[in-house]
Amino acid sequence: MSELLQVKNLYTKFHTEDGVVPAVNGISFNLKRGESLGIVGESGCGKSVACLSIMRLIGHPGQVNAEIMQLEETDLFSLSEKKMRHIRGNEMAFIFQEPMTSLNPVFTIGFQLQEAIRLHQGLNKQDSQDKSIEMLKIVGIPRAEKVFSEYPHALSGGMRQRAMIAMALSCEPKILFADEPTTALDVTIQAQILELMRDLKERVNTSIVFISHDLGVISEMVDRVIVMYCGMIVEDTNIRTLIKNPKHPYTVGLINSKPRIDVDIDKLNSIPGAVPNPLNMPKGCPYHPRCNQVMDICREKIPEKERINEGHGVTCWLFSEQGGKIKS
Amino acid sequence: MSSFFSKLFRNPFKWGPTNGNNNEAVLTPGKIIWKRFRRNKVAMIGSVILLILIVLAILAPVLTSYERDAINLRMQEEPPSSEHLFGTDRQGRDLLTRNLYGGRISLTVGLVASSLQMVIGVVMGSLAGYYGRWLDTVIMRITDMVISFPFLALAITAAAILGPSIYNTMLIIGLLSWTETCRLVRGQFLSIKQMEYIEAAKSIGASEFRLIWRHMMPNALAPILISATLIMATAILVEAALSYLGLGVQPPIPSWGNILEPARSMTVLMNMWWLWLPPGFLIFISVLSINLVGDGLRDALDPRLKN
Repeated sequence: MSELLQVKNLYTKFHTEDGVVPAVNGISFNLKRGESLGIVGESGCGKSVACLSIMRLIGHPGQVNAEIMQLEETDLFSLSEKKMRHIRGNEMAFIFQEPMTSLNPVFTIGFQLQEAIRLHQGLNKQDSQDKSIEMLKIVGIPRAEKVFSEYPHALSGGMRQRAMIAMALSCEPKILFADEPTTALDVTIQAQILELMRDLKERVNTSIVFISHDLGVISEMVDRVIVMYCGMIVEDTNIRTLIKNPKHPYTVGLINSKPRIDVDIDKLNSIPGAVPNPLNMPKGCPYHPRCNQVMDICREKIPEKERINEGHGVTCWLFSEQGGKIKS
Repeated sequence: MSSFFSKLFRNPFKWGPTNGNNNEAVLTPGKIIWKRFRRNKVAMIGSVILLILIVLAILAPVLTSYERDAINLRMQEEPPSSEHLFGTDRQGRDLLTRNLYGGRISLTVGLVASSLQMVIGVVMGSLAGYYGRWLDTVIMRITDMVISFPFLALAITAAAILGPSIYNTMLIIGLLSWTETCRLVRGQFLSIKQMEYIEAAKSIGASEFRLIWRHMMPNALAPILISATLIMATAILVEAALSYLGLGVQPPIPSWGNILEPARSMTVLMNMWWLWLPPGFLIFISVLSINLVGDGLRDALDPRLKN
């Protein structure tokens, strides 16, 4: 079996006082070993929640359901909490968006780095220390021995994100979830961090799931992309096809709203309207109120995923036989 | 003193590097706090006074040649003299001796009672804050119930029922005053739980126990420490009040509170100042110095006052 991670029909709901908020609505995808997958979509479309659900980090009042959620042969969904803890950090790691707050201010960088190593690899003090200093060197932190005993407040944002990456990769996980790891950094640091992650991915042979709303960043980093809208996957394909030949009206809208360096315009394109309130989802396709090619059936029924090409799936009535018939 | 405080605040889980000699410049939180605390004159005076009181209590057998409970009926209620520096009480016991030994009891009762309430408060508060939901509701309602009784009235009643003794005094103070710490810790935990570094710790596979004690507790330590000092001052006061009323520490064991007991009579209050002035002053100065230390800690630990 070549699939590293299999997810089928993942649902995550939050039971709030105002009602049930469906954050992820039945997404399915597979990830191969060494592959890098991008997840794009606007804020609140469920990309982070989907990844946290896979790592089973969604606590009360969230509720996760999935038909299949499998890491190689291990069923993540039914695994005991104790075994799950062993997978977290060891086989799946997570890099958070905000490096300034993702490190515990009362511990040294070294302590936090060693924690994962000692929890999972059973190394002794000296070995885990050597290993974490080595990791700091690998992620390009100068004076690694000194930084090892520094507290997070002494480090800049880029340095902290490097330390976070070192921490995430210290146990050589099979999958690395990176939740907008460069959003909080300025562009030059962002380029450095992306370069570093690409480089490390080759070295450690880790699969990366890269969450971002920045198509530019995504296109540099990944082989395959999932576009999410309102907790659903609307399009999934490889990155070249997505940029050159997007199918779903939402993806088309996203690509068109990217500023282009070769065209001089006064006003950036945007998709009209706003993301619907998750407590009050429109009937039918969640994108239909904003869609410029809306049809009658879109207002009535949620479309099914259609394979329009090898490795290119779109969830839209425009590309399904049933929808096409109604249109013609 | 310096090493005491830096030990107190040094990150107990820190694994320092053993290789390289370039780590002396690292500014640990303990060093920063100690630097700021040392700059605070009033707090330093408070801690010096407190230290003197503690040393006096510890060295009591060395500082006086009299036995703690030795009665001398020929020397009743003598005013201070070269023989008895603080005078004698109704049974002719040397009051300097009793005040020194009383300090042992009063400070110990304060320490034990406040430690007890800390343990209860921290455990209950962290459970309520971390797990939330029904456990939070149950613990908070218990807290509300304990708080809604007038403290001193309940303490006196409990002392009367359980019978007055040192241990009951500690127990009563501890069991009745944990609510403040509990609420404080719960509030801290509610906010720390939302921090991204807790999520990050979870994502590397830390257990719940580890999350609570290793990752969250050190972050909540500052306010807990401040409140602990202030509560210790209160505990000393409550012990004095109970003992003064005859419901706390029982003679012949001296405590500052029960040395004060004769001052309930008007003649003693008007004519024999040496019976009540020294213990009263000791209670006052110890509570004041603890409060000064607490205030100093608050200033040193509050990152918003950083300058």
